[in-house]
Order: sequence, then C-alpha cells, then structure tokens
Amino acid sequence: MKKYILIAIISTFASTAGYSQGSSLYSFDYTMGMGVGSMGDYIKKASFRGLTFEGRGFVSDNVSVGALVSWATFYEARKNETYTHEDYTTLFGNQYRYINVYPMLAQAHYYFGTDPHYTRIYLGGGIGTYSVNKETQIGVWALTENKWHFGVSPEIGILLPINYGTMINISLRYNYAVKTKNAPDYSWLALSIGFAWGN
Amino acid sequence: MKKLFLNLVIVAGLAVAMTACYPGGAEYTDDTDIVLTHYDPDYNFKDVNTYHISDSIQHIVDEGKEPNNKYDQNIITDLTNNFDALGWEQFDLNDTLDGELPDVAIVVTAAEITTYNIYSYPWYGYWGWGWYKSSDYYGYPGYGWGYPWYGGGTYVSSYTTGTVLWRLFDPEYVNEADSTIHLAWMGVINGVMGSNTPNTRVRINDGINQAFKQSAYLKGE
Repeated sequence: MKKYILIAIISTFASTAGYSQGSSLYSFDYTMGMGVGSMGDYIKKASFRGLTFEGRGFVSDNVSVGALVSWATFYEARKNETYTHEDYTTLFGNQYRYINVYPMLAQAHYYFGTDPHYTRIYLGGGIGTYSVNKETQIGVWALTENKWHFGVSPEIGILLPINYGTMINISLRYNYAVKTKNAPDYSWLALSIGFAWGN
Repeated sequence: MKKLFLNLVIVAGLAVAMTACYPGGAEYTDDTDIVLTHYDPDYNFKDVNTYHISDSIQHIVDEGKEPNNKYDQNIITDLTNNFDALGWEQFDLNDTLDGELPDVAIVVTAAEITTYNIYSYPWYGYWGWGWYKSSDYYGYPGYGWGYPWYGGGTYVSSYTTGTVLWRLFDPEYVNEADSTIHLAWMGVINGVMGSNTPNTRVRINDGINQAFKQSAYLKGE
C-alpha cells in the first residue's frame, strides 16, 4: 500500500514538473448545507446562509491545489424543548440553536478533460481546520461551545463555461470535523453554486 | 492587479455577509420564559407525606421600589395545588409545638431586581413562618442554602427581572453546625414578572405546572 502511495506522490510532483500550467482558478459560491449525523439531530433544518471562496492553482492540466475558506450558519428554533443536564437539572423553554462553521482547508482536485473551454467534472477534497461555534439560546441564557477541529472534506463538482475565462461552479461537498476532547464531531453536506474565473 | 483587487473585494464581501445575516432568535417577551428545576438525586421523595408552604413571598426589589404583590396569592395557590396533586398533605404549623415537623418546607421568592444572584441571598428572616425546632429556635436566621447541584458543571446563578423561585427542603436536613439548609428541590420561572403583560397570570401558572411536570421524581418515580 505504501508503495502505491509513494508512487502517487512522486507522480503528482512529476506531473507538476511536466504539465504545470501555472494557471489559476478562483470561485465564489453561495453555499447551502444540511447537517447529518448528530449535527443533523441537533439542527434538522437546512442552512441557506453560506458562502465559499476558493483559490486553485493548476500544477498540471488535470490537477490543481489550493485553499478554501467558507462559512455557513445552521439555525433552528425549537419551541418548548426540555434540556437535561447530568440528570439533576432540567431547563424548559424555547431553544434557538445555532451552529456557525468556518472551514479553512488545503485542497487538491483532479479534473476530467483538459480543455478549460468545455464542461469539466472534478473530484477532490480538502483537509484542514474547522472552527465550529455552537450556541443554544434558552430564554436569556446561552450555552456556547467554540472549538477548533481537524477535518476532511471530499468533494465532487462541475465547471460549466459561460464565456472565455468565466464558469459556473457547482459542487457537492461532505464536511467532517472530527470530535475533540470536549466537543462532538460535526458533519454536513454542502451544495455550492457560484462563479469561477481564472487565467 | 485588477484580479487581486477583485479577489480582495470578494473576501471583504464575504466578511460583511458573515456578520450581516444572522438568523432568528426570540421575538416576544414570553419567548424567553424558562422553567428551571434542580433536585438532589440523593433525596428520597418517596417518603414525603406532608409539606408546609409559606403563606408569604419574599420580594427582592431595588432600593426605593415597591414590591409587586399582585401575583403572590396566585403563585402560592398554583404551588399548593400541584403539591396537593402529588398526594402530599399540608402541614399544620401548630403541630410544631408538639415537636413535629413537616417532611418538607417550601419558601418562595420573587426577585424584581435587574439581576438576581440566587447564591448571594441567605435565609430570609421575614418569610412569615417558622417552627419551633427547639424551645429557643425559630426559623433559620443567618443560615445559608446548600445546593447539592452547585459545582456540578452547569448551573445558572443570575436571573433577570421578575423571577419566581421556590426552594424545597427537609427540616431534618438542616445542618446547624455550618448553618446550611440543604435543598432537595428548587424551581425557577425566569422573567415572568418582568412586565405586567395581560398574560402574566397565565405564564406564571403554566410555568409552575411545567416545573412539576418535568420533575417526575417528586412522585418517587
């Protein structure tokens, strides 16, 4: 297995040397999200408040590396909810639940096809940090949890050219921020739609 | 250079958008109503048969302000109805002269100050009741409260204007050595008396009923 990983790494750098285009691609997307797993249990409603900004540099005709910053707010109001803490404290009231997520990831993508003037599907993913701010407002009080998580994010997307140098970018991303010592894991699907441009 | 500027504008726009569109939250006064209950898991509520509830309420008000007594009787009545519904009997204070004590006693506080820190108020000398635990002893002047859940990680010490709070304790579990009255149960309705809205009476009633509903252990369950 190690041998194949090594070959893949060497191939990547070899291709960088051989096929580097030096071109760049930026995208700015509107992002929607839906929590899954325990995050989906906590906030069932989809998020329609999110933005993503990406920069990618092509190291070959088919491969880019880059970075992403994103933000999304998940929110749900729950009427007359009961919250129990360590069995002996019970809090009843309306709950206003928020999760703000801020992924900051290093990314790599592989593109099918080499001509940027045609539609291209890409596969890739990111790895990096997620700042997750969780807040439960109950009455005039708020329970807050602000943590940094390590996380990964596989992605599939498509670039649809609309004119020379400008494309529509659509991507579906699964975000997984792993649990920390004092915070649970968070996972959600993010659908981004926006514009991409480059040289 | 033009592209760099465009990208910077986008990042700035992203930052503005992040702070601008924050959703939801409470809209009306009663959206912030809360019912909070604590109990001592080591206390055996199954053995409770009699209770005594003070017929007056301790009002904590800002200096120079008059207490709002409008809902006192409603609060006492709502609590009494719920304790009766548990099958507990009201204790006759005259029996204290025979050396008897109620299984539990309840005292009620209405805090009408801006921020009320429950842990900074000791026994209230003018609750208007007490019993003779010994020949020279009446009530618990100078005693503080013991909160079994305090220090458990999450607790709220401060409440907003108009909080109704009641404390239930067993007179047998009053520690005279350290002047501490150990609580078995506490109920808090936060903010209900903060404004004299037309439905304040209903909000108090709903809050007290909810406190009993979420405290099934009072029935020994």
